[in-house]
Amino acid sequence: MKWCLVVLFVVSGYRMSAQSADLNAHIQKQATRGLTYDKRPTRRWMDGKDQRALQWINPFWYVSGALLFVYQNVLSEQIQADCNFQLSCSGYTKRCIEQNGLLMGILLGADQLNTCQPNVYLDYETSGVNENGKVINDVPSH
Amino acid sequence: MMFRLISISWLMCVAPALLGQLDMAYLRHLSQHRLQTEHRVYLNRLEGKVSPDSLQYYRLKFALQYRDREQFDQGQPQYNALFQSDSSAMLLTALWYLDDAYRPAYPHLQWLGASPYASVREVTRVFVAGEERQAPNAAANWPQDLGESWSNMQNYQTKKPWKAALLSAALPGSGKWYAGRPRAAMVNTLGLTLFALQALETHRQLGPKHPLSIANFVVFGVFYGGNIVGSAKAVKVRGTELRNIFFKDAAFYYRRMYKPLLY
Repeated sequence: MKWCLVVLFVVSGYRMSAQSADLNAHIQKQATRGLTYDKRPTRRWMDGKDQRALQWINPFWYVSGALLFVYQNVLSEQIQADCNFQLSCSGYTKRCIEQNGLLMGILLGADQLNTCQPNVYLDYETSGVNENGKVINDVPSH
Repeated sequence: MMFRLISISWLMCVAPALLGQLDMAYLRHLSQHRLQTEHRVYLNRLEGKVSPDSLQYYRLKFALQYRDREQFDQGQPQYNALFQSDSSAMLLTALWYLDDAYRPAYPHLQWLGASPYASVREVTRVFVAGEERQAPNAAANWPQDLGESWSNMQNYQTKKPWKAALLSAALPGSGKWYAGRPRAAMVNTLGLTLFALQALETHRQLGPKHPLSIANFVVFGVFYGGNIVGSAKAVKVRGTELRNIFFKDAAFYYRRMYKPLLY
């Protein structure tokens, strides 16, 4: 049982949501349209219908998705969280996990959370800040 | 009243096309006043009335004005003789590549690079040089701000993501400083120092096997690893930022220098 959970945890790192794979790919394509550092192809064997069976029996998919859902819909409003990035820290983490896997997604999300402070926009060029003074961030793809 | 307005506007769009000829003054009017819907309706009504090449040419210019990438690609400008002979349209296409983050692969630029117009070739060379980070021939004539954008982009090439990752591993936050994000660097250093102190203090007081100690070390580890990954990402993003700035400055400069007009 323990090893089953470990295997599921590792597998869940690759992709949390197969259902939203197409939408994520589209969003990523739009967001990184002008960027050239994204050269690596998508891992084909982890996309598509094969992943869906694992997703149904994977508890980490439900737990991590539920935690982020509760935070975004309940906690965030209660504590009046106002992120300094255009794509909020929780939303960014969620999308990073979906696109880069659990480990890399959590690390990237933690980095944004650690960097999120009111003066962060001063580090960016004017074109990198939107009209509300929030830094325009995009999800890197690996 | 509304019906009458709609009828009049419909007639204005359709009537010139029904006559079977191209009303250039009307087309210019549509373009200059940015009447996008009327413009599209007018071009659609011209089907069968004018030659296909001519209609495709005006559709390409429509896509160029409103930056409709799909329509522009479908129009295949490289095979349209009218478009190839229009220096302004060609130049605007090259400038579009520069300032709209619309960066096609090099084979798509061959038809622009082989243009008979020197201005188009020059802008295309700047585009290719920016992609390959090689100084173009025109750099000597650039104004100071464009030259600065170029040198900023060139100088940033020496910075590598793995160096930022190593620096962050040695001293959390230094990788962000190296990447050109000083405020983020200070915040990261402060935050990670606090996390480390908290973890060490719980370790000292509660012992290594206490759940709180383990939790604190895990949290510190996650943020420490995140800082390493984020520093590497920051170098990539900053490099892309500087490249985009150079391309936008170059597009602005060449647009002012050549003053291309669509109609």
